[in-house]
Amino acid sequence: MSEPIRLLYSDAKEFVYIVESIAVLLEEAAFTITNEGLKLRAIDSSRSALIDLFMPREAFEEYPSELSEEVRVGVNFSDLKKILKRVKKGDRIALEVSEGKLKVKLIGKATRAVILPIIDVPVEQLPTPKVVFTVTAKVASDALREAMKDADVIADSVKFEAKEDGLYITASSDRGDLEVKFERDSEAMFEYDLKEPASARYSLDYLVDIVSKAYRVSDIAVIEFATGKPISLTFEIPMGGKLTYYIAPMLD
Amino acid sequence: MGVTELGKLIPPEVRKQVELKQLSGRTIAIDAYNALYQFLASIRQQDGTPLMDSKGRITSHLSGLFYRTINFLEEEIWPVYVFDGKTPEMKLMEIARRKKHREEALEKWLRALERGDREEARKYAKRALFLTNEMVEDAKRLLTLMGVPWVQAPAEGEAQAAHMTKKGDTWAAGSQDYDALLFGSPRLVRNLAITGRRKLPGKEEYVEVKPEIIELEAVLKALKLKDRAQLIDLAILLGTDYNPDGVPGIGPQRALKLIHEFGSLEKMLNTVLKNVQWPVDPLKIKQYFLNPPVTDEYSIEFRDPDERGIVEFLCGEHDFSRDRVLRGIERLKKALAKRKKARLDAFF
Repeated sequence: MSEPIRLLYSDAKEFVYIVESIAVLLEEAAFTITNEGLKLRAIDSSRSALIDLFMPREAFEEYPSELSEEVRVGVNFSDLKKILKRVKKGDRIALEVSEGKLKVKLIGKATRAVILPIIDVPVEQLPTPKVVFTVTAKVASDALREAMKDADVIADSVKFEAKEDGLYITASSDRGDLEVKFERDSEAMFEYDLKEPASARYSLDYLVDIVSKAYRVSDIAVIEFATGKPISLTFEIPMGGKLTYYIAPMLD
Repeated sequence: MGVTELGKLIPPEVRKQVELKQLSGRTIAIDAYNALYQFLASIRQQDGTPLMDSKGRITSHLSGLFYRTINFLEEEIWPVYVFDGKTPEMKLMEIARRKKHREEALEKWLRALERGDREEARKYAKRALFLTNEMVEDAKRLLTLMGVPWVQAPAEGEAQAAHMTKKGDTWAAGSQDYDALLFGSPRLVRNLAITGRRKLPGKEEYVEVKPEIIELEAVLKALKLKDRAQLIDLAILLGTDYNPDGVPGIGPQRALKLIHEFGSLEKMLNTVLKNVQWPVDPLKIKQYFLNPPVTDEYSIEFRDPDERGIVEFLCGEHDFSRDRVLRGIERLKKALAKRKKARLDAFF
């Protein structure tokens, strides 16, 4: 029997946030353990939202030293999420892969280990959407979350509009109208790069779920979009990792 | 309708059972006649009487089409209904036979009703189904009002559905019958038009019915067939709409064995099947399955529903409950709005 492949991450809570942020879109998906780090790229069943996760090997306390080939670890994310609900503050998390099984160890005062079957997840080579973004806005992720939740009360979709003075998020229906403004150089807007004014509409189905989980991964959300093009939301992970979403626009 | 015997040969491992929501994001070419017949069969009162308006016109098919289509759309499944066109001449015998069956069933149904035998009445009521031209035109009209696309096939609807799926315009053909596979559809989805549970024939019991995906490649592999032509040969031995009785005395297992041994129908005709009387030239049937009449003139476009039109048609002309229809329209509007959500594929 070969040695299991072992990864140790020192902040189990943060790992939970990442897993929950993936589980909002995907029932099943595969991590890929590569020499550069842990990766996951997948598209949701309606093919409207893509997730791209990268956690560099440096982000891990322990990481396999040299892999002769990439290792795919297909998991059921709703099962994994349930197990990780048991994580306590201060826990570390180890992932051990061997013989078609994934052992998840939660290391705290005592070590708890759960074994999950590794499932066969169809492989699809997904390219990065080809979009020239004309707007980049770095905003406070909790403020973005509030904006999405407010909009969700009003409508099924939101409009992102980038103007000279800032980023406007608006929603309207017969229930009412909402406008949230992230002003350039305000407390909730850390950086604003406007190459060209832009406006596009996106479904709240995805945005609310994504942002309400992923805001815990990072205090900063990087929003990038362009007129009639997908929106990209990036949440940075310590040591140069990141969790990025691409969501297709709605057609008017 | 015809290839039920072939169904018996398709093993369970090739039938992938899924929840309706797992079909989310897919566009499916639904065999409209097949779906309408299923609505007619399942949407009935206890004694088998279908839903009717105040003028005595049957409305079960419209009720099924309206509410089931909304269910699909809410799951972001995009149905395109494909209607049969001209009946192929080879099929006329089968049509006549079905008509006779229906007339007999109608008589038995009426007699059971007189006796007050509800179970018998229900059984025969289902067999007495008949889809009239008026019902079909009503169904097309309702779909147009709903903003849901439908396609007029030049001949068999399943052939057209298979053609659209082969081209990649739709993801699968949707029908209870297996003919779409014979016409070359790479994928067939069954159990779409029926909801949740189905009554077992002759019993007061229900079984859970889930959509079932069958892939042509998987069927060929499971039956150890080289190609679709062999599958067609197999179906012809077992019976199709164009030769309903198949070859008398040859059951599913034997038929499969013959195909493996001989390789093709052509090679059997002068040997093992030399003395068989065919109602229609079997090679003509084979050619038909291989190259059926289909059209490229269709559009799969969803539109905003005509709310007033739907209310006038369903409530005004056909006495549907106004409250239910209005709630249905609200659901329909909400579901169709989601259609405007693009897929990322356009940006890859």
